[in-house]
Amino acid sequence: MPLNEPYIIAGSDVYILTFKGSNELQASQTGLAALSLKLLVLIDGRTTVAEIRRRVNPVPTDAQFSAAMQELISGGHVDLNTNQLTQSLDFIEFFRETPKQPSALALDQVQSEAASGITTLQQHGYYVRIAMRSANPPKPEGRISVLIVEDDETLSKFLRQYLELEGFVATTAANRDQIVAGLRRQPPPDLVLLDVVLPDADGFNILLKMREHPVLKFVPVLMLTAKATREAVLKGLAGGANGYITKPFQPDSLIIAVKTVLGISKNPFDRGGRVE
Amino acid sequence: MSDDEFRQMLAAVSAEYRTELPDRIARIDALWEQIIRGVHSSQQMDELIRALHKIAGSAETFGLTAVGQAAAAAESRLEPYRDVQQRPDAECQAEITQLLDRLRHAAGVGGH
Repeated sequence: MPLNEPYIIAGSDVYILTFKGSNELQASQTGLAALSLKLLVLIDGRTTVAEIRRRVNPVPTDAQFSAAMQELISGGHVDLNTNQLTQSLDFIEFFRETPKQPSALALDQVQSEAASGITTLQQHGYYVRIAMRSANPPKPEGRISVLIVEDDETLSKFLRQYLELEGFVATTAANRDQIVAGLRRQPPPDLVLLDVVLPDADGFNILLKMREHPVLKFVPVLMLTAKATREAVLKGLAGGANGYITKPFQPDSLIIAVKTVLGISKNPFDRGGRVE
Repeated sequence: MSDDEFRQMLAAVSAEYRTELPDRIARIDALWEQIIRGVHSSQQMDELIRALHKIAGSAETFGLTAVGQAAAAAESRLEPYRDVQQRPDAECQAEITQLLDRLRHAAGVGGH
């Protein structure tokens, strides 16, 4: 269904949120029209324009829908998703496929960072790539969501309760199906704590698949690992992890790492800070 | 979050962890028994290493450092055998038996 100019919008098109669009969703106030805002909430990088229009209640007219889409596109809130893979993305199938492994060049590029990362991990129990802190820090007044991927039920429960006490909204996942369910939720989590060893999935592969995904590639990932070997850290950094937390961890270290990667703590060694 | 809130939460979850630890160790013992008798499959070795891995990654957070250390040592000792799909040799078996004794002792769990 071609709609009005200046932007030609086909029903089969798929749009993704830009950083500006994500920020708009998390802002306490918006200058967008009500319908544009509804569309912004529904645009997820994999659902077609036609389907999104059907999901709006009441279904907008061609003119209303077109005007709202034009506002989002011209305002830089959304972009056409040109990744053919994701245009017909079945989320479960997507995560079932084997990801492309980091190239030798990518591994080579993070060699020196891995060396210093391991030293920091041994000293502090966590390592956060400052250069890869979330480019889209959640608004302090918003409820920051964290998906905890951890198969030890008691440890997972502790992480959830601890993060909730610190003001986060925490959900948990212990296996592949739960991970997929947690990642497909809208809006996606603001941060993922990702255990490397899982019963039916490999944490590194989950990370790589996330980095291939048009929306999830922006979500910061902190790897939780009991084995901070050079090889493992190299693999995680080359795969796009934002940092590492070693297990067993000290609760303080966990929160510092989480806040640092989200850009909500100016001083990563300020142990008294809350999400303020 | 106040320090009190955190301490209460940690104490509650740690108590739960200690309560469930004997069952986890009993499962580890059962798997190890099968392995040293040679009546195991690669899945059982995987399960044993995963069970040790989970304890290694969590026990210290709940105040059980020695438990976590014994589990981590046993996990590391067994991994090469899992990787080549071989039954642990006599020397390894003796070490693992000792490490599991240490683990049980540190967890306050009686012998099997």
